Amino acid sequence: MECFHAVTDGHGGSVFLCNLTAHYLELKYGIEIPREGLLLDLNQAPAPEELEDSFLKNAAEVAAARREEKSFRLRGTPERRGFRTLTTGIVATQDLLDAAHRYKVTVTAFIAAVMVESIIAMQDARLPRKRQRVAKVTIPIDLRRLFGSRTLRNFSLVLNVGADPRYGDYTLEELCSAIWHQLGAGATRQNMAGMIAANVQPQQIVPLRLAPVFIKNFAMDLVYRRIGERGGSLTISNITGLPLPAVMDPYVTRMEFIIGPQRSYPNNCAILSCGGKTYINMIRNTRESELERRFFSRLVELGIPVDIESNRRSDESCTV
Amino acid sequence: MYCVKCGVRLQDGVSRCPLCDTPVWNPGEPAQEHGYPDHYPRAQKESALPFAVAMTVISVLAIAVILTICFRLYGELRWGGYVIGGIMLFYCIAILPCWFRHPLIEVFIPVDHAAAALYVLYICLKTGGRWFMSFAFPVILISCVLFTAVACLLKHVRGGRAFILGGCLLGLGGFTVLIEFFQHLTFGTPMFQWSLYSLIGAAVAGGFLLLAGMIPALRGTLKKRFFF
Repeated sequence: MECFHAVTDGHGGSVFLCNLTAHYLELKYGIEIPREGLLLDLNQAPAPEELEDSFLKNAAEVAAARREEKSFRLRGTPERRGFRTLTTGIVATQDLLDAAHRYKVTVTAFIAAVMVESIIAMQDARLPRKRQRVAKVTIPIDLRRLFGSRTLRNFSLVLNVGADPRYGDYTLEELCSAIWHQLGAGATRQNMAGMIAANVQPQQIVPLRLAPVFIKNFAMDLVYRRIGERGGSLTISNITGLPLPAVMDPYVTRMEFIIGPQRSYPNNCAILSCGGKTYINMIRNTRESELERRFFSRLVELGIPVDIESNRRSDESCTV
Repeated sequence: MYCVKCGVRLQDGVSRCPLCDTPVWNPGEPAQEHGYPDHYPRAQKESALPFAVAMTVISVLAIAVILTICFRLYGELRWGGYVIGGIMLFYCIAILPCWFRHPLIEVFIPVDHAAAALYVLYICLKTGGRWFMSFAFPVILISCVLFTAVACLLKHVRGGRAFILGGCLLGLGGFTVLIEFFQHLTFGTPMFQWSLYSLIGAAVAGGFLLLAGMIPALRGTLKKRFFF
């Protein structure tokens, strides 16, 4: 299932996919699936809470500042004809949990720390320390738990977390601690409300509301190019798990979550855990596989066995 | 199978590691011999920095030579100022972008126009003219805005090339009328002597491109005819 982000976010897409799968299994196999977890009763009309625009409802009165230092840009040779190389790293969820707990952080923070470490290593290989940039990754935060929302529309924001290699070397333990604390400090109800306000306040400006759509589109495009993706090097989106009823387990062997490359992010990473395995999908629209190589090799070094699957083009070798 | 370099486990049947491109050695399979290399080195994009350095040195030397000649022969900067201004204008337009790995056209178009304005201002002051503020400056300013807008639209807006170029041609037509208007204001020449012809030509061409943008069939025909 492919979903456009203007429609909904990861949670909304997950709800739709789970309900679609449940309905499919009911029709194909004639089984009865209880409506629990993410599954909804399709015969009932949607509740108003599921359709509300939670951004407007939960915005603060004062907008938070958007200013952020520009992060290191991953670059590479563009692939021909829009080809996307997808590399899936399959790890045992328990191994990942054990590794994260060794560093006293969550799985998301741990993976973000390993990714930031890989990005810093890439910069070290290319640039002197003084010319390097801050290495940050963009992590989407689901706001439903913070604000008690049940909406099925978009309701998530992002935090850019990482480290500045110009200040010195970081061990993985230090990176894990820094990122975990940045996530903890940033993902609060108050901070998120301020960030929501920064996004929704332009809607209240009368001249902007009256401007023609093509001017608004052009202006939004310029603003997004300027500040939208400057704070991170890539996105790491972790859908921790999709709770499905036990009756569906025999029919669902594998679930994966993939996000595409963005305008300024040639690489992106999406993670989903299912059936005791965690699928780390790294996608890129460039030929060089350096980030994937560093990231997965580092996981192996940390004692996490990784199985690799890829759709890499067989006619050409990738550039490392 | 495992990659001997990364340590990751690979799918069966894979000949190379998708992460590091290391060939996977399967002892069960016989070695294949072939006369061609496994992969070809990719051509590296050459940096323009040595060229920029060389041209900078040449420009500085040329300016130094001109200054020396002028002050030795005349004791003042006579024709040398024009030549030095021309060299610096050429440097701004052609050599300055070479110093940057990813030169932004939306920055360099205004920079080039600013350099041209300064050069023209120098000529105006040197010749004792009074045409800079009423003619040269507004013409250069409008040209800067027009070309920067077109460059930004072509670079950042996906699609709609026909509309952008059609609008650009219409803008150029109007621009020639404005040039003649400023010429009329400054030098007292009659209005609508030559600019109407360029306006009509630009309007026809621009209108045709706008039409091509609106009619997909016409756009497709033009693409086939002109091989783009």
